[in-house]
Amino acid sequence: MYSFTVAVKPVSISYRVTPRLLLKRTVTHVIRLENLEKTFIVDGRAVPALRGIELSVPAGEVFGIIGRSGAGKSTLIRMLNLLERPDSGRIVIDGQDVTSLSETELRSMRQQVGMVFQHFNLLSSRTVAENVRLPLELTASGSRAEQHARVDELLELVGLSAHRDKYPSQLSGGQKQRVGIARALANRPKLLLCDEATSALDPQTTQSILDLIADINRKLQLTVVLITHEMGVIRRIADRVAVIDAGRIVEIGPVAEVFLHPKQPATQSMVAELSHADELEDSGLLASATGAVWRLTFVGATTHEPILFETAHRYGLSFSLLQGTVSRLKDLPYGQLVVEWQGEADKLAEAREGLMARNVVVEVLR
Amino acid sequence: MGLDWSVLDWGEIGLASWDTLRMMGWSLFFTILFGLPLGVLLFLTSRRQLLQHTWFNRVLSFVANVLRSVPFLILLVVMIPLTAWLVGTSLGVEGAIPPLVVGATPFFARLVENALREVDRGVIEAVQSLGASRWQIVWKVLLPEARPGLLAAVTVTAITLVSYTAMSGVIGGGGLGDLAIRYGYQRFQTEVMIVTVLILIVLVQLLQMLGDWLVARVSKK
Ligand SMILES: Nc1ncnc2c1ncn2[C@@H]1O[C@H](COP(=O)(O)OP(=O)(O)O)[C@@H](O)[C@H]1O
Ligand SMILES: [Mg+2]
Repeated sequence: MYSFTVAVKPVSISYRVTPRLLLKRTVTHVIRLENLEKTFIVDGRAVPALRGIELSVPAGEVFGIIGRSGAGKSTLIRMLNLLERPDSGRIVIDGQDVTSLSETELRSMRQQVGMVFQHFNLLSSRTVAENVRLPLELTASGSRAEQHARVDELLELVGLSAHRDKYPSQLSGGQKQRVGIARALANRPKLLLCDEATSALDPQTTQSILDLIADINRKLQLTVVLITHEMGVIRRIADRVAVIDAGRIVEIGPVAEVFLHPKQPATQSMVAELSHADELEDSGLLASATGAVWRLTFVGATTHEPILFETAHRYGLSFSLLQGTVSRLKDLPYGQLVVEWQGEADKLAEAREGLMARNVVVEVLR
Repeated sequence: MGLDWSVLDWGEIGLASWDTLRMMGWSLFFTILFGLPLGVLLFLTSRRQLLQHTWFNRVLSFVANVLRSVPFLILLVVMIPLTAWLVGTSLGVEGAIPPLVVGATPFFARLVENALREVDRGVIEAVQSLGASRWQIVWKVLLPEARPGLLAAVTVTAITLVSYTAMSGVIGGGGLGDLAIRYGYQRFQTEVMIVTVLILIVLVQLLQMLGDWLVARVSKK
């Protein structure tokens, strides 16, 4: 018999305590932002773009920033290589406060930070190989032969070896972005910034570019910061996410937590778009339900267990599925099911306890 | 009015054509030499660009506009003393070159500025994000990316210079314009006038075709 006083906390912590976070104290932060403020003056009027931004990104992480158009995402990511300067606050990249760097120091810092753009921003007068070689020319790194070898290596990495002598106008959007990625990686940066890198691409190409970025993150131990307005992008490759709304970070945490248990309205509405939560309302299934309706959320190994069947069997309940998603958050499998249960009230209470004991988060919708 | 084509002195026409080509070639060379950096500077110092400098840009812009608004004929006359001092004469091919350069440089610089404006801001930003210096941005991005526009600007300027050289004939500048005025106008030899005009038309057509061909060749968009 389970007692109510020892009820398991709703949010499972098993997926939050990754080895990386356990080492938190020794982890070096590639990025640390302290109290960043930025206001644009447009036609004499002040447009606040960023307000009190605080965040840290540890080495090797894929950090996502999500927000609606105009929320301040581009302004924020452009501060990380100082394409945009803050009005106040500190930007520490790799232990170095970059706002006080001299012109030359700033340039060498930028060579350590690659950036990928929504509209690719390739030089139309240069071939694929010449575009990728440009950063090497700028830093005069290596002999001509070494530069060529490095270009070949990068084109291989992004899968464009066959297109090396084409001009950008002869490439598809996905191929252009691969050139953009190869160019950003040429000088072996520690940090890769992606400003809506997939927003101009179709869903399939988006998937392949995200796979490439995730692959690079793993292979090269590169820290990645990406901004997007699509929750789907965050879900695919980010480890942690910050939600930005009207220039403020309103929510920040591991993707599983923010995605599965959004607290802020801004986050909830973005998650709802992806999880079809509003469709349930629209379908009328909730209103016409006669039994108890619960939303069950689970992550990790639980996803592979027959929890519905076992629960029904054990407590003598019957159920019907109103809505469900079983998918993954980066490498973490998760499920979110809306289930209507029929059965006796005390059995239902026991079933709920049982589910919670198995690290399933139970929200009672009806 | 009957035309008598036998009065034409083809040797002199050939020489005048050669003079026109020389005037155009040399003045085009110096116009590019001065106008290209000037155009780059006009662009870089304008609002939201790499070397934004409102005050400097305004002065430069003002001088360019003043020079552009002076009718070329007046520039020719006003510049006579300066030309004489610079090249030792205000007559002939040499005497025509300084006013041609002064007249065409601000015009060309503006065309250069416009061509540079066509370069995608995002591309400049991307190269900045790679740690490029301003100098590198000009040489490796702005000029190569604007190449089709710059070649078109050179073509337009060359053609403008041809018509300016014809005008410089008025003050004894030599070339086809000079020929047309001396024979066609002052001695009523309409035939000379017609032939020189025809040669000028062919020259302009050829320049335009050459320019278009070059622009198409370097355009990768
Ligand atoms: N260079 C600029 N000048 C003036 N206002 C700007 C500039 N860049 C951004 N803004 C303003 O700052 C706000 C945030 O913009 P941005 O960071 O581009 O948003 P997002 O990338 O999230 O769509 C917007 O209101 C935008 O109009
Ligand atoms: Mg943006």
